[in-house]
Amino acid sequence: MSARVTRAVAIVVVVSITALTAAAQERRATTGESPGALVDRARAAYAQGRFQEALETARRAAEAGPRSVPAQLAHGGMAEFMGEFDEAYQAYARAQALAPNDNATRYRVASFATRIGDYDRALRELDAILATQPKAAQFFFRWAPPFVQKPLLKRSPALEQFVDLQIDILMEKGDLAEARRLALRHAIVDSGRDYCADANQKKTGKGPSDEVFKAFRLAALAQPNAADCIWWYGQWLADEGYMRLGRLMVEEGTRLTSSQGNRDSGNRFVRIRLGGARPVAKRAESVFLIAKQRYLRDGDVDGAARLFDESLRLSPTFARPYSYKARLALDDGDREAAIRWLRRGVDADPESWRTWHNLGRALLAVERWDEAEHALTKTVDLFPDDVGGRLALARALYAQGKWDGYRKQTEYAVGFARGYRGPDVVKEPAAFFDKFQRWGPGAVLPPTPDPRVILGWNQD
Amino acid sequence: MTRGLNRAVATALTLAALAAPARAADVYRWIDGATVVYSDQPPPEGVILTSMPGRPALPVVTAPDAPPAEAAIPTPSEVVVSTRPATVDEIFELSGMRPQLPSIARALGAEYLPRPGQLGERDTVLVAQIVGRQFAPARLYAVIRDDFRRRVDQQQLDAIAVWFRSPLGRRITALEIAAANPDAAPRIAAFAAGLKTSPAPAPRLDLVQRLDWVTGTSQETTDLALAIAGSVARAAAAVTPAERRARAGLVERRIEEMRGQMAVVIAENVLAQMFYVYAPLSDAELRQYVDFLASPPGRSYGRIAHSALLRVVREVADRTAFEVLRAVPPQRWAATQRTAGPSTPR
Repeated sequence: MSARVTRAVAIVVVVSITALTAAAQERRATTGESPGALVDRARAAYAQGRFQEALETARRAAEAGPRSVPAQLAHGGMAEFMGEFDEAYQAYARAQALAPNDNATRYRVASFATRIGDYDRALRELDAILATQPKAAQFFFRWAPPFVQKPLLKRSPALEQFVDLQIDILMEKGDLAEARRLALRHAIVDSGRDYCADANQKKTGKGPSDEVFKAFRLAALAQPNAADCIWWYGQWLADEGYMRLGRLMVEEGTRLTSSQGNRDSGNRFVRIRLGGARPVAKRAESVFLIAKQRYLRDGDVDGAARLFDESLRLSPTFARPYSYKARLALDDGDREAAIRWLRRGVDADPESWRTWHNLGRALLAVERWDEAEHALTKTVDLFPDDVGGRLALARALYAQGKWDGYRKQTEYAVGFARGYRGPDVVKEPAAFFDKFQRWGPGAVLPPTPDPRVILGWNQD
Repeated sequence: MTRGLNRAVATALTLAALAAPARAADVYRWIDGATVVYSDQPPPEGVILTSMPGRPALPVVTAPDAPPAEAAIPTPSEVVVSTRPATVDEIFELSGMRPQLPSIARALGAEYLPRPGQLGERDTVLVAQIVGRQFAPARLYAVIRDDFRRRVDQQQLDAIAVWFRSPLGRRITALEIAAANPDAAPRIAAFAAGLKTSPAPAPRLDLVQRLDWVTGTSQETTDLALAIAGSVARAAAAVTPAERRARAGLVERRIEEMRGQMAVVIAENVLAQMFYVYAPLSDAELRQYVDFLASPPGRSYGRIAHSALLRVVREVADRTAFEVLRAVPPQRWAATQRTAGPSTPR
């Protein structure tokens, strides 16, 4: 009996989630410009990393098949992937209008709603999917004990995806307790297992970031009292650009810690790294993350620039897009424009340590020493352990003949970096400093590497 | 003085060391995606473009010690020390910067030229024309001079001129110019080889190391070499199709990663050349020179001249690489090379 119910739930959800693929067979013809053929071509382009072409082909598929659910979903999916959220919203709405009871469509809509921060809508869609299942299946899914759920989820990745989405929504909403309850109930995590050890190992290795993310996520779900682990998860998320979830995790780690020093440090991290009193809208964060991908991964400068602008329109005090706008300006060789963007960034969020850091380094590059000194002094005031910031400040001071200041900043930076990451991390500045100590000032300026020293204080 | 010499000689020799089998091990260079790769191993099969810009290797000299050039060095009695207000042109003339700029431009521009047979005749001419136009010494000089002029005042210029107008200052400039002559290259190489068997005395070594520090020559040469390598990598990335292009920022990171490995080779070459050039000077004379360079006027001159040169070379290098690869795309370099048979290490 229970095996039959398990199978029923699994099959329904698998069918729902993979309906997109199956429904491609709905195409009107196998050749020419039929919606089905266009959907296939869009998928092929996507698989080969030609994302812009994939979106354009999906658009044509949706136009060619205005009543084709797969074509509308393909269009919505590609537009969502590329950060064209208004376009995605309309495509999903058309798909849902065509097939209001289709679970594949509901799932895609739920996922999209999560991405743009409409969590209630996302949960409603998931509930609706579950409500279409036989009563026995629903009962089983809700109440079967973890040891029964585990093999079910193992056999059905689609079902696991369904539960994961529920958990992600709850975490993003800030309902960590409910997310943990769900993770335990569906055996996404096992109680008693040390996920933190696994996460820490992955964090220090050179594995793919997806793996680190998954490992930390499981640790945060399974070990509610592991303050450090949850905290590191938050800092890792901050580097990756997940401002909201990162903030939630750092705040949770800070709440759990017993040390006042750690509490202060956590509060500072939220203030100077995660927007502090200027929280970022979920949609702005999502647009920003996709813009980064379009710029870094695809080299799509125009698309990325438009999305960074969109992110700033949605959250004008979100500092990170300003740094990326500056990078785009630098890529064009326009250093002054880069500096203007960074100044706008620190105006928008005067406590954004990284934006000050970037501004200081941009000013160094144009040899505006006194302005660089000011920006970098602000940088290290905000975050005293910023090795790259201190080395940059040391250079600004050296260029102005402020030898004592140079000495002080370099000694601090080199000492801290050596203590944290070993002697090689600041080898060049240290060698330069030794010569300075031996022979006095030389003609060239000290090197200013910007080493990755502490997780959570990098990127941008 | 040292600025001019070290740039011309150190840059030429060092870039040659990176491009040619000037040392015991062969150095190979090719472009992988958007990155210039230096290795002691040949490139893997199927590399898009091998050994993009090459230049004729300096002759490998195995003879022992060779005497440094003494010709055309003025004696103190030939020199009349002026007290009139100094000009930038005068400083650049006396320091050797202007006379040596053609050698610097030639050495840097040669990095973009194809090896014999690497390109067809038409493409070779096209590349040479671009390089010749971009690295025209008069053009570089005008930019450096204007940049320098903006950053120094008359008081600084006059203070700098005191040294360069002095008999010892002129003598040292003459030594540097003589060593910058391409004919001196074999003698320098032989001298450097001799140093391996008969190292310099410790006090002299200390003086020369300090000279390198106060002039920043090793670092300057590394910066110039990286400016050239980086220009090629950036241009190659720009003409690579989007789906195969390196991630934004990766090119710059890789170039910086090359710094450490290049700096070691460059520093060795620079020190050897300095030993050669200043061999006719006593320790006391060399110390006077080092003291001037370490003084506020000497440091100002060194720093401003360094940044002016680096700025102009970076700009010209980027423009040259883009123009070269637009005119002769990477596929043409690679295709020509494949038909020419196995690649020769450069």
